[in-house]
Amino acid sequence: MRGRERDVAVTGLGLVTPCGTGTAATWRGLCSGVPTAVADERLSGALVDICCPVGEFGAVEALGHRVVLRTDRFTQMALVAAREALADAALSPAEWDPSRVGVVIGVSTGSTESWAPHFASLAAGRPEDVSPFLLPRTVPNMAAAEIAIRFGAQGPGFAVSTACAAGATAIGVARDLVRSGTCDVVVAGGSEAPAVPIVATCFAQMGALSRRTDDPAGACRPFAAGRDGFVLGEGAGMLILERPEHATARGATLHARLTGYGASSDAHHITAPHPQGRGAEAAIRAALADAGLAPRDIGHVNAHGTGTVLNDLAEARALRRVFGTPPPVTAVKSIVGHALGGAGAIEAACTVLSLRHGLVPPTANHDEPDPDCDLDVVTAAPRPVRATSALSNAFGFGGQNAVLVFETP
Amino acid sequence: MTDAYALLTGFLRDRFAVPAAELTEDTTFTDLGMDSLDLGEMAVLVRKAHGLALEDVRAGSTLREAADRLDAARRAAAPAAGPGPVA
Repeated sequence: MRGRERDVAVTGLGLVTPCGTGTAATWRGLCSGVPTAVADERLSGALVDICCPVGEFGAVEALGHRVVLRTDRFTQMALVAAREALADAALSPAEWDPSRVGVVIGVSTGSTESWAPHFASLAAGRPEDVSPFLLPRTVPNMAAAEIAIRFGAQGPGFAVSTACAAGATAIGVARDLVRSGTCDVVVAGGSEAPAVPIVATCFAQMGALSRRTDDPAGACRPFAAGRDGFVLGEGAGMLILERPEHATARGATLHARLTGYGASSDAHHITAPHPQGRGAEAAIRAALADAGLAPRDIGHVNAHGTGTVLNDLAEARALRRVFGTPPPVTAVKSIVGHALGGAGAIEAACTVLSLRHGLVPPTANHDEPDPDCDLDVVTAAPRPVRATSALSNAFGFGGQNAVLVFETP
Repeated sequence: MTDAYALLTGFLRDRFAVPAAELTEDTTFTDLGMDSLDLGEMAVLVRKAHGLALEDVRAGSTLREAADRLDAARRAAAPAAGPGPVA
């Protein structure tokens, strides 16, 4: 039996997603069940030109022109989401001990497209045309650095990179910084802006993207028969993780407790998951053990659920082995697409919102379930689920897995 | 106001989001919150747009001093751009 002193409080949420800017807009969009995928001019010339785009997200208003000019999109979305999360937590940098505030942000592909014109300058024999801002705006740790600079967080700050699990890994690693006593507060999450031609083309060449480009809204079909790949998304999710005593002392409202984190490696293949979901199962079991919970205690699973043939089958097999009959599952990538390094954090925030609202948002396009997956997938409308604990799965290329367990306060 | 000064302040407004009210001949780049990275970026932009080398400008330089440097660079470039000698 473990004590609650090992728990970490979740006191703030911030989201920038294709459903809108902010937690409220995202929750409304997820509960509507309407996919946000469209053909996107930014992907013109790519092998697949559909994605779930983040529209205008108020970067200039929130951050000012100068910051917007020197930063790439993934950093801007991270800053806007962090700003919301800190405001939601009612945390004021003027009141905290800055040396005990950390920032951990998951990033996957980063700013691939920003390099293109500068490679062209080199190829044209004009190295002097390469911007001195290119490196600082594109290195993956810059989202965490810009958050630290803006809000004066002087504790540990870094990026983590576990591909599509990075957002969840960041939250898990941040949890350890709080649990170990290193930090009172950590801004933890993930951010990614991969809706660019080179990334879309790379994933298409790997066979990972849905080719239903004539029906963008119907393209991402997690756990459904006939699914043929994921749809790119973009966005950022941020959680404020806090030492419970720190949160209580300042009278903060707890959204949830983060009680379990499990990580594992498939040690199997560079892109394909282990066919039986061996690594996924190990991470789920580790997260449950860390939380001191049995499978029957979990009332809901927010699945990785990308809509690729291999991921969904491996994930379903892992869930069935752990749970026997798994609790209600949803896959929000069917609505917001796959934000790669941002996805695990966006979905962690969704999992917290599900616990708070007692509601699981639907999975879109699940009109014909894949019998080989055999899961209780929530479809069509949000389902009331009175869960006290829920699981959020995130699995990355390279077979790197991160699973989080949240419980009601 | 010289053409070089107008060119410089145009970049500062359009690419560095400096409000026009903050731009005077005696303003330094430091006054505008700009550092050596910003000046490096400015030099790249000026070179790409006009083929001119903006050299020896420091964060403590005033906009007038920077404009003078730019004028010098323009004069140095002018002969090559002008008509060739008559044989």
